Amino acid sequence: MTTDFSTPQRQNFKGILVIFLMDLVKRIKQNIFAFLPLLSSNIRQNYWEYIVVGFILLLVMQLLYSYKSYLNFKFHIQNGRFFLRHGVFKFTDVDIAFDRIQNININQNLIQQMLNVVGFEIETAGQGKAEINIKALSREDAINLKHILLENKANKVEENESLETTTKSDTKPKVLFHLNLKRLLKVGISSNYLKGFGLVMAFIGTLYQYIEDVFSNLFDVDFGETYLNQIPETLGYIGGFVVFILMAAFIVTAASSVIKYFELKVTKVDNEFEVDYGLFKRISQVIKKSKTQVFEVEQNPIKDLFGIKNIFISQASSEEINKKNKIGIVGVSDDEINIMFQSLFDLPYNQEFVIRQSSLRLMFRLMTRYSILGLGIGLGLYFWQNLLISLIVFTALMTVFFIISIKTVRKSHIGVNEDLIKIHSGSIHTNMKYIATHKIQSLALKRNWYQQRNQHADLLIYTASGDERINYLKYEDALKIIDFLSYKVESSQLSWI
Amino acid sequence: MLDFQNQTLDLVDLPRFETVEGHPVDKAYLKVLRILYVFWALIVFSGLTVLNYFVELPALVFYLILGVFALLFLFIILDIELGFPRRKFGIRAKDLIFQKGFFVFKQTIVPYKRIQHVEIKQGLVFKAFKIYTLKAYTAGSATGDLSIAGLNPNDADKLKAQILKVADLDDN
Repeated sequence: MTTDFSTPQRQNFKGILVIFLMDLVKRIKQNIFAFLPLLSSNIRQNYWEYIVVGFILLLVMQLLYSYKSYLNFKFHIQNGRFFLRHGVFKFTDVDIAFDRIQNININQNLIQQMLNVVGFEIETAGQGKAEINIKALSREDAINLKHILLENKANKVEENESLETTTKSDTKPKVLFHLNLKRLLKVGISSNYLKGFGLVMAFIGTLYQYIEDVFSNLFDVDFGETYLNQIPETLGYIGGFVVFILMAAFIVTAASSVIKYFELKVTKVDNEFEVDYGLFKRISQVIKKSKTQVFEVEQNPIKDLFGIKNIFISQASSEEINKKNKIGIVGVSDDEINIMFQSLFDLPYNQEFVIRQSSLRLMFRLMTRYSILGLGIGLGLYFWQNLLISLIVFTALMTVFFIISIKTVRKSHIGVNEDLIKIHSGSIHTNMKYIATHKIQSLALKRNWYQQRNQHADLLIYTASGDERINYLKYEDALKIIDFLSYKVESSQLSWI
Repeated sequence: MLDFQNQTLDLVDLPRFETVEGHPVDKAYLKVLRILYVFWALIVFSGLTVLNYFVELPALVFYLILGVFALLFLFIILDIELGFPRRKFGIRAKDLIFQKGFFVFKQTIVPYKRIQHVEIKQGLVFKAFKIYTLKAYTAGSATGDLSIAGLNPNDADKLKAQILKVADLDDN
């Protein structure tokens, strides 16, 4: 039995539960800090009745809200347009013409997997986030709806270029790349630990008081007084603590990569790539050749050891692109990069570039910034602990910063050729961004007071998926590059989208 | 000399944007900037005085805050006064150039064919001095868009007409 989409439809009946659970998870995520007082046994003992009653009240309110939001969520199709009315206290009407639809994503997160429904997202041009998000449809309905929406679109295109579409739709989807478990583990191991480290530190920071409690109960140490008398033991604890944090950071980082990119699959359909990934939440995204703006290749020493690289592809979007809405294809080999690059740019991956390096003066800028950070940490430690510790940490930090700065400057350069720009950056890791010259939106040179005197300039390249900046080029070189690039954009007949 | 390989055109023949003769914006804009500057300075410094009157801040802290703001405002007025002669826009056949800034000198090039839409705006103070702001939006981020403040009505109209004309031509 097929559902008739021309009359207003609600979501699948299980949708109530899906909406309720998803909203609940969202609320808990938003208010995670509200649960912190519960860690104190004192509060738990004295106020548990209020806490339970409060929770139940909130749950009931959330259930009512979700139920109402399910009832009010109605969509239908009419005259080649998709209509949606939703809202709880105020209604929003959305109306999308089929030919404006760019992408349709069918996702399934953990809750949806358990209830055997799928999420349905409709994206239109420009907007980075999905404009329409139907949280619960049966898989049949979702596929039907997708066919109806895309068929109508295809028909419209066909009127214009009938020959091309018929030949196009004949090509069968071809799996281009499938990330197996072994490589996925390599990706996890070679991820950037700073993120996981930050997460663990933030977690520990919020629970510091609690951990101190546990520690002092378990080991009978008083952090305040004994530590000066018992330096060896304290050092032992601190050492253990550091190892624990590093291990935790490692596990958190590796696990989050593995969960995020589980069963990553790239399929080639016509001239587009479909990327699916995720363990708990299957995400499916489409890479379009025309929408692609920046092609980014990331490597680091551990990845080099494993012989894998990561690719990130940014597509045109009206919102600022952040790490999240780049499409990541991780753990690929050089050959696979070649294939992707070739089909997105119509050019071989190995390109000759005229390269211009950032000046060594960039060191001053980086070191100034790092010094402020280092001084801040040093001063903080000085007031919290003593001069010796602060000095040791300060010197260690500055040495690390110095090495990072040198690496940053060495790796910072821009390459230009007839068709492409290559922006090379990174410190420990290496990052290469490729942009087709005709995808440039605007260009700028920025020179601060010093640079005006010592004849240097920062070059800024603006694309529809964010800004790129190359610091401290020689002014002469920067002028030549900017003249060349503006000539390239202005003489090119190609469109940016 | 930058040695671009397998180059079909000579780099020397490329149009050089640094040689473009810029047109200054209207002098009235300097007056507007000064008025706004005085307005904000009055608000901030009187606000600080009032704050000090009600909240008993230690003298050291108060003078520190005062000093920071005084320094900030000094830099701002320097940037306004010394940077004003540098506020120039250039019109070329294929793109629009705008430059400004004393402490940080920024030159932006926006090709006409990448301009999505043009907007001419006029704020309250701008109205009194009969000047306009022209904004040319691209699909890139807002910092890469062109925003030329302090155009007289004549220039603003001409500029807009030029952008629309070239954009039209390129479409065909």
